[in-house]
Amino acid sequence: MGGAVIRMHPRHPDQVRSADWHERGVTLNEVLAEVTGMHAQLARRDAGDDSLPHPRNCCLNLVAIADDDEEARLAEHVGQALSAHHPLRQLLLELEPAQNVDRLDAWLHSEAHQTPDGMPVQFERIRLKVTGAGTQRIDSLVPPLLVPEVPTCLWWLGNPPVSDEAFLRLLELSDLLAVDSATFERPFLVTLELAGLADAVRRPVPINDFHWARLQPWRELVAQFFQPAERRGFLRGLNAVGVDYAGEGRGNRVAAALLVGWMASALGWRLQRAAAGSGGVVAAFYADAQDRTVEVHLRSVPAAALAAGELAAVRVESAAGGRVSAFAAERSGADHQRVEVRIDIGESETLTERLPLQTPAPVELLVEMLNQRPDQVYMRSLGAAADLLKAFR
Amino acid sequence: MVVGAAMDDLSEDDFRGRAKDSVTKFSRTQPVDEEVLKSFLGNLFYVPCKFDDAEAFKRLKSRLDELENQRHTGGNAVFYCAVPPPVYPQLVTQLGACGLAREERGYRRIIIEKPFGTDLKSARELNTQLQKVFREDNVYRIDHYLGKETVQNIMVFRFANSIFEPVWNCNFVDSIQITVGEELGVEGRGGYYDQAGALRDIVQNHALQLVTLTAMEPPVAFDATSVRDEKVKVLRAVRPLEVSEMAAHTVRGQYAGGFVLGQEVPGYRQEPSVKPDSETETFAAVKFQVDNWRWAGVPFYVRSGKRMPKRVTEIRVQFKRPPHLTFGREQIRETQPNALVLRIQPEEGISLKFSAKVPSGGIRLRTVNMDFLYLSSFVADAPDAYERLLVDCMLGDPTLFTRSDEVEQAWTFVDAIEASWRDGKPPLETYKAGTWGPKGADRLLEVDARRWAVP
Repeated sequence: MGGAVIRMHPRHPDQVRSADWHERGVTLNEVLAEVTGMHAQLARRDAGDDSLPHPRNCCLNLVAIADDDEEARLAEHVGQALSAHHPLRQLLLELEPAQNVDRLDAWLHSEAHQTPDGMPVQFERIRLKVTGAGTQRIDSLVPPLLVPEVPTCLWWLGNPPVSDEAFLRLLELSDLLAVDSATFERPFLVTLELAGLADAVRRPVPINDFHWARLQPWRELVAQFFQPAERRGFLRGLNAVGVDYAGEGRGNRVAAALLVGWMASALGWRLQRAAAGSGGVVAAFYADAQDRTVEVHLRSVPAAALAAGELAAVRVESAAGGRVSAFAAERSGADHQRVEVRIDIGESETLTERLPLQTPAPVELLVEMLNQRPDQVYMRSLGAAADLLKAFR
Repeated sequence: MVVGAAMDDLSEDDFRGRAKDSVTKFSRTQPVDEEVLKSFLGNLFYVPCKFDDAEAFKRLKSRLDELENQRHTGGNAVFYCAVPPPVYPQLVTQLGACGLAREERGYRRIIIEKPFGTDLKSARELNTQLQKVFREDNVYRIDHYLGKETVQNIMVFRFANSIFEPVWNCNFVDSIQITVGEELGVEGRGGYYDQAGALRDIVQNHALQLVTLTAMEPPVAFDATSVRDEKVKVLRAVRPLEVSEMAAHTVRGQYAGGFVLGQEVPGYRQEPSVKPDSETETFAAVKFQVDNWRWAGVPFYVRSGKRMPKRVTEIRVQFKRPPHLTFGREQIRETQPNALVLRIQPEEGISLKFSAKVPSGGIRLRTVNMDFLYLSSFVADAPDAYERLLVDCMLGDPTLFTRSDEVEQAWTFVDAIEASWRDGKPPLETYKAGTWGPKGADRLLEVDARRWAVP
């Protein structure tokens, strides 16, 4: 995973000092005053009689925007887990535009603890439930609550309203936009909008996608196939790619398109044409660097244990030096948490292997995104995936 | 003791009642200690006083004499003028005429609030009138910014540490950005503000004070004369803007309706007591040079506005990039040059930004911070700016007050801009409430290949 060491330590409950506050129907000024008061309260409690107070120790603003309680709980869980090692201020906005009442409810949680290696860490979570018309102006709620001079990650859990002015203004405050295209209601359209975001904002903001991050094991499997020196030639002779993803009909084919986009952008393929078939099967034809055709098939397959759009299988075929190779990786087992890898090279060499395919927890994926920003590989893959999705339209 | 003197026809008990309500509501220490409050209220007195009534000032003098005998104040008195600036001349004249300014036994000092005049001419007139009655060293022009701990800490940071001053110059500093923003609108002061505007209300005093403290040479000692001499030198070195430069070096804006802190707010012209066709600026941005050896070629960018996304005052010292890109152009692109941010309010503190290696196999750089935050570094509460300044006045220390030549020098710079703005150069731009000002403010820096940092 990018070579970075991710350390997620559990916190020691007996070392945690915390403070909480909750109020319905508040103003942002009241929230700000309370946040400052709680910060001071913890710092003082931490100082003891003669020691220095708690240092500031904040290195991230994590702004999470949730559409419902379930998403808000996920964001809370991730923020809490991240804070075990990473001092941060989490700003969690739960939006309920359908409510008639224009109101702000606030829950504040602040805690100070020490990591096992003795680092003092402070975590603050400001959870705001915004109802009614206030949901249209969240860009005016966020800036005063951000800790200055530290990076801001904007994590939009549901469907990012990419063309909204408020969204774009929030984006301009951010150093990373994290989305999960697996949960998009309109994955095709939103992915195209995301790919075009760089033109809509004054400052290009790195984007990353949990759906993309979950592809990491698949990308590693494919890359490892070409890793040995004697197989490198197959990279230039790659002629067919097949990707199966969970779903019915067209479904959410963003992850599949990202995987193909990753290969296309890395290997310099140019998209020639695409054709839709029946039963959710689509085909695309690329020209590689030598102008040979690479045929790509995406197919939705039923897989109840997988989330819509998750990859179920990847097949890669190539020919080089008079030999052909076929690589296939397919999920197996009742829980789909394993992958069956089969490698055929020429007529002699066949290798099969069963490997675990564990999806990292959201907090680990988020840490990786923060470490990788800007993830140029993703940005290039997104551009190529958007071209492919457009061609399928 | 405090003797209130105002036009309201109040009894001393009425006055104490008002004071009690205000202290109970606004005191930083809550709940208020009733014993302390009772003792404080016992030291409050009141004399009704119409400012055009010489007899009223005589009554005020009699009351002060009487209280002096009772309470042994030694004849010391500080006159704190919490009145609209146009009343200053009349008030000062009356104080002089009835002998209240005479230092027969103790000291007689006067505190006046900004704005100190509305332009250079009126500031000079005010200074002349003040100095007819009070000695200059008894005139305390209060700019409460100078009483803030974080503002005083600018000098401590610069002159009590040895590692920053060697790089605090044009050899290392790329530019200076000063932002004085508030989320508030005119808040019922529309009548006053419509006559003043952001340039005169904030830039002429608070913002230029921050410029002087950032750019001044080390004073020989922390005393009133040494510090204020160095501050004036900075203002004298500020290069006056030529008429032809005004459009490119200054920006004026006025807020339209929008959203601030989640609330919908009206545009400036819809505010009470503001003319519906008002041309008064609620945002001002200025780019200028300080022509001296230390700052040659370093642009100072100053902006101040109302209805910004949040309340913030900060000074950003932006350093130059390293002269050689050891880690390559691609790597350096991901990092920002060093910057030192002095945050005056809120989140009072200092941040130093520098590049660090991202833990990974290759070389990747990331900008990280070293932070000092007042709130979590000192357990004791800092005194309010006014508390500090009032005590300094009583002690006779004017270091943190503005001297007449500082005021006049600041007006000299600002008057030229005002004159151009009255001629419509540059034109007034509008900006949506809840944003960081009009587009012209961004252009001010973009033409220099820079951008405002988001505070």
